[in-house]
This record gives sequence, structure tokens and C-alpha cells, in this order.
Amino acid sequence: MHGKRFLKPGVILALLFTLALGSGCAVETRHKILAAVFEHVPPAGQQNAEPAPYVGHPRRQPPYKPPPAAVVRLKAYKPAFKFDWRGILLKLPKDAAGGVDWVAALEDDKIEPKAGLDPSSQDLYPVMPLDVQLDPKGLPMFDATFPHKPHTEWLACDSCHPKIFKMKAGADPITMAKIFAGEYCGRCHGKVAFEPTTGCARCHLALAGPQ
Amino acid sequence: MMPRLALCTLMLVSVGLAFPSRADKVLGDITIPRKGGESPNVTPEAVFPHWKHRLYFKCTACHEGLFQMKAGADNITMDALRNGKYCAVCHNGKTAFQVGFEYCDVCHVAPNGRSGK
Repeated sequence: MHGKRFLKPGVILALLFTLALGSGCAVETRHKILAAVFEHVPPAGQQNAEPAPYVGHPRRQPPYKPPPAAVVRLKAYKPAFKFDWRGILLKLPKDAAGGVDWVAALEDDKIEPKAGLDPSSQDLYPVMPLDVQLDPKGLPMFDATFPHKPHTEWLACDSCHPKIFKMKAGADPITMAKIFAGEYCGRCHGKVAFEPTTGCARCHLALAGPQ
Repeated sequence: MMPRLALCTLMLVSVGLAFPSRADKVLGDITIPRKGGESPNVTPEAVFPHWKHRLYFKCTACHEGLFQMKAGADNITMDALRNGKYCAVCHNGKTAFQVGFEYCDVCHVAPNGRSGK
């Protein structure tokens, strides 16, 4: 009885000693020892293999997402105008009819127009302060005054003389009908300068009333 | 999304503010009729704004060395402008914006004031 009781722990100790010995052995030897003792021992060399990651299968396909559209990038657009044209137009002085009063704009130094395309160009012709009276006979209210000064500020002598006006006061038969038809003063007035239909008092100074 | 929308709105408003005067008819605006018989629906007729040029130049700068003082007297064509004549003397990209496909609608303004492009 006594011997058997001693044998049981001895067998267990021997087994543990064999296992401890086998764990320090080479891979093949350890596998043989482990395979002799345990079941389902993985083959040699696969003990430390990583388990394959779990891949879940979704029940539904994810919603369709269209591929991103190609972005069209245009060439950098150089703005033609850095000017606020409407603001400039509103700031210019106006005449009684609402049009731009260019003479006042020039006198008030609102604009500094150049006489030539070259920025350094100077005026070729002097400003001539000569008023020409064009008085119709028997109609003193319609005495017309032509001021050379505002015209020579913008124009040169040969702009008008002698093609449009002879260089002699009263030499041209100027009538309002011809001006409205686009002759004489009407070559510019009504086209780029103030309209003859609304600017009566700017030539017929008596119509402006007492100043 | 909202910042992008706000940016688009801002851009549209700024573009609208940059070209406001094309709808205004100012005394001296000259319409240059098309000579090739093209439909004005393709490209509208060009409009020359006298007043914008009077801000910087006196009459003598262009008249009569560059342009005659009579609308339609000069045969102004896009071919002539591409050869550096008439408007292209200044509109060359240095003095003023260059004549080219980037700036068609600056001059070719539709009668309703909208861009013809």
C-alpha cells in the first residue's frame, strides 16, 4: 500500500519533468513529445501562426455612391475692369437734362484727360478764351454765344476749322434745323456732347434767365 | 455646403457689380454694326462707350489720327484689331485689356445688356 501511494506522485513528477525537458528542445523533438502526450497537436512549425482575421459578410450591399466628378479648373481669369463704372458715372457732374456735364467735370478736376494716347503727351493747342456771338436778327432772346474755351480744352483748331466752320464769325449759315439734322454744331452735339434738344440755355444764355 | 453656397453668391454679386453700366445707355455710345451678315444672335454688335474713354483722353487723342469723326467711316473689323489697328492700338494688353476671346462680351454687349456669350 505504501509503495503504490508513493508511486503516483512520482509518475506525475516524471511526466512534468519530461514536458519541461521537451519544451526546451528543438521544434521537431518538442512536437514528438507533445504529440505523444496530448491530442490535436498542430503540426510542427505552425505553433506560432497568426489566426486569419475574421471577415464578416454584410447582408446588404452599401448604397451606391457615384464617383467624384472631374473638377474643371479654368485658367485664372484676369478681370478686364477693376473699375466701378457705375460709381464713376454717378460721381460725374450732371447737366440739367441728366447727362454728364463734361465741361464741369474738367473744370472741377474730376477728370484729367490726356491730349494724346501717350501718357506724357502735352496739349498741342492752347485753350482760347474767345466767345463768338451768333445773334439772329430780330430775335434777341435767341442770341447764341459760342464759347471757344470749353471746346479748345477738348479739341484742336483743325478738329472744326475749316472743314465744319469757316474761320470767320457769321460766315456759316447755321440754323437750328441744320443742327438737328447733324450739321455744324450737330456734328458733335447730340452724339457725344450735350443734346441740342435739352441744352437750349447753354448756348442761348438769355433763356437761362437772370443769373 | 453653406460656405460654398455663400461663396458662389458672393462671386455672382461681385460679377454683377463689376459690369453694371453695360445696361445703361449713355450719350455717345456707338454701336458698330456687323459687316459679315452674321446673325446678331451669335455675337451681338459691339458698342463703343465714348464716356469711358473721355475720362482719360481728350478728343484729339484719337480724332482724327486714329478714328474719323463719323460713325461708320472707319472699317473696323476684328481682323484689323488683331493686326493692331484701331482699338488695338491701346487694347493690346498693356495700356488696356487685350482684344481676344477672354473679353468678347466687354464690347459685344447684347441689346438687353446681358452677355452675348
